Amino acid sequence: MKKAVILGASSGIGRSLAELLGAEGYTLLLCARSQKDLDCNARNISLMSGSVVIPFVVDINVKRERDELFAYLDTDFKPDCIFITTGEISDDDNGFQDELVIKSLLDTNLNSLIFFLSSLLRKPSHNRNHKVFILSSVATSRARRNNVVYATSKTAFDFYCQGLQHLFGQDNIQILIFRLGYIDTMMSYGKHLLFPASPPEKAAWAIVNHMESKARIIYYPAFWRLIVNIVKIIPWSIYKKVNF
Amino acid sequence: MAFTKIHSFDGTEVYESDVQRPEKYSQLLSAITNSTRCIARGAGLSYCAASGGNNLVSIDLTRFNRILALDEASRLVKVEAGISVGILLQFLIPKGWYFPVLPGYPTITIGGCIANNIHGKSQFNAGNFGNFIAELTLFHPDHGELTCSAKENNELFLLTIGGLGLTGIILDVTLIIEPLKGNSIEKSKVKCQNLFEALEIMKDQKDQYEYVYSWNNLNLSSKKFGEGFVYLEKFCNNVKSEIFTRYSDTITSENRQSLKLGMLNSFTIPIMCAVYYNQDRISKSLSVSGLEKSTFPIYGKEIYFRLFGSSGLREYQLIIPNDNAERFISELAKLKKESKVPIALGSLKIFQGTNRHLNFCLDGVCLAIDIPNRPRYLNFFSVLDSLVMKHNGIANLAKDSRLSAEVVSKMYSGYHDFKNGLNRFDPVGRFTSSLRERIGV
Repeated sequence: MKKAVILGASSGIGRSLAELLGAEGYTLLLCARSQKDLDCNARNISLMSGSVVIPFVVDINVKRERDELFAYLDTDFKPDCIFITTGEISDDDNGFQDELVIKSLLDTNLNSLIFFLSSLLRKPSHNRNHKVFILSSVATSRARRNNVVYATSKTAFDFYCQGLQHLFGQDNIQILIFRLGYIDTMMSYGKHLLFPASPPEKAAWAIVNHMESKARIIYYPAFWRLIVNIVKIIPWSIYKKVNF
Repeated sequence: MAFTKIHSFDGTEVYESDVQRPEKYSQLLSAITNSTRCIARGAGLSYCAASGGNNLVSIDLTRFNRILALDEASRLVKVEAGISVGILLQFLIPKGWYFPVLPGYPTITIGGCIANNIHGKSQFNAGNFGNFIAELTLFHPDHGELTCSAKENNELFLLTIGGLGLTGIILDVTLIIEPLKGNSIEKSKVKCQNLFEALEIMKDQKDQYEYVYSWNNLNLSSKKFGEGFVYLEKFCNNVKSEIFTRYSDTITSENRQSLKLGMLNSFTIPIMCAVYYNQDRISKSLSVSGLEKSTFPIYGKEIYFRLFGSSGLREYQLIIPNDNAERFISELAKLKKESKVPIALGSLKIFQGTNRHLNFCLDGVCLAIDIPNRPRYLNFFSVLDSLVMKHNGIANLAKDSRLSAEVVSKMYSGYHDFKNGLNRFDPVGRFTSSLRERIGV
């Protein structure tokens, strides 16, 4: 029986991925900060699919809790694949927010994830046949005024993961980056979007279908690759006037 | 706050609410505690504005849609209030369980079923949805989390069942389930000359069937008023049982209005009814269908609601006590003849039970009527209000977006009990909606 760990499994795509992998018979370790949400997800998946689902409450921004998770992964769970779906946004992310808000965005979207992956992949017992799936964002394509710190943190983490891909290029460790467009989660709900948001269940389905892919970076929905490429080549003289 | 324009399902009410869709319990509780006026929202398929209103927070619970426990020995299933009846059924049926009271559309949520204490085609033997609630957990910011059941917080339990979502947010509910009696439904069809005959057949046959209802053409006059069919359904075991699929292309209050121009009017409705009648007349009188198709007859036939266009429809669903039913039908036929309002749907059910608070429940005959929403037809429903009151009947609040406080208080003997109970529990009225403001509770 394959085992999967999902970081950020309390809601959004993390929850949808858990439901889908549970239906496919995976043994799951669901990680998030909220005990109640995790318990509800674990019970639901277990009842719906009969899979073994273990809720694990962890705030990966806290070193001690991260270490407890590592210990559990190392000694007990021994996962085959890891999904990193955590993410945090903030309203009015114009780059001039309160220092605590900026720190929280950087910790959740970047620092803690780097700490997590570096510790995970450094350990020889973990450093075997791993598959790590990273949920990145199309916000990494080009900086823009409406999500300054979020895009900064996501881009930096995306870049870090590309570095790991290069590092482990000759090994059995697969690191696959999914750059997601608009997904119908609380991050996008109620916002005026340029394109319709894809349901998280569909995004999860696309991710699971690409688990054996040899690609390094996958866009979902696929049309976002074209949009990202167009956004990248818009001349600065025009780009600076666009408000999106 | 970002206000969103929302329509009632019948398309006759538009309001702007701050719609929030939390995905975690911490977000849900903060959405409730941070708002001074709010209301829970499920699928948003109430005909009236029951889950929103101007300048209030409408809390979409559809992400709280999980199954939390199944106790087969005690015949109980515990779910979150945002789960849809379709998903619940897809979980229960393969395990050999069923829920006896279900609405006709799969995306309707359990929370919505509780708030309106809905009924199904089995009302005459199973009663309303509330009969199958063992316990529920309610959250109110001034009272915290409260467990409500027949034994604990009973007054609040009874206020919440059919309480239009005004007592708080239902977090989870434990439902009483029943063993599945078969994997398919056998449907018999009996032709009826008019509403009187339909009623007679339904009363004669009801003890032998699980579900009894009718379709009646109310656009014919005199002796043919209500010509149509009575449908009698019971469980059976069919080797080729239906394969369940995920529900797709489901109807919402917003996409119901995809046709700007309504196609149903005084010219097309009689034609539509005649076509439906003749189509059904030549089809087999006995058929077998899967549980899903039979339980949710509206799924796949959403075009009916879309044909009313953006101007919408109006539904009147009423119960008249058995003793007054025949006189009521005679007077209704006369009223219909005089008003010349085209009736797109006429359908009967048999009801049993006693009325409490604002619950749509009474010993009697239930009739549903759909008409296109036109200002000139509104008087027909106003006269119908008087007729229903004259015969000691009640109208279903969940299906009507125009009933006034005065009419509701006259129809429902439990109106003041409900209002007083609600005000005792929540004097500030934190949970409110357009519907609450209109009916004045």
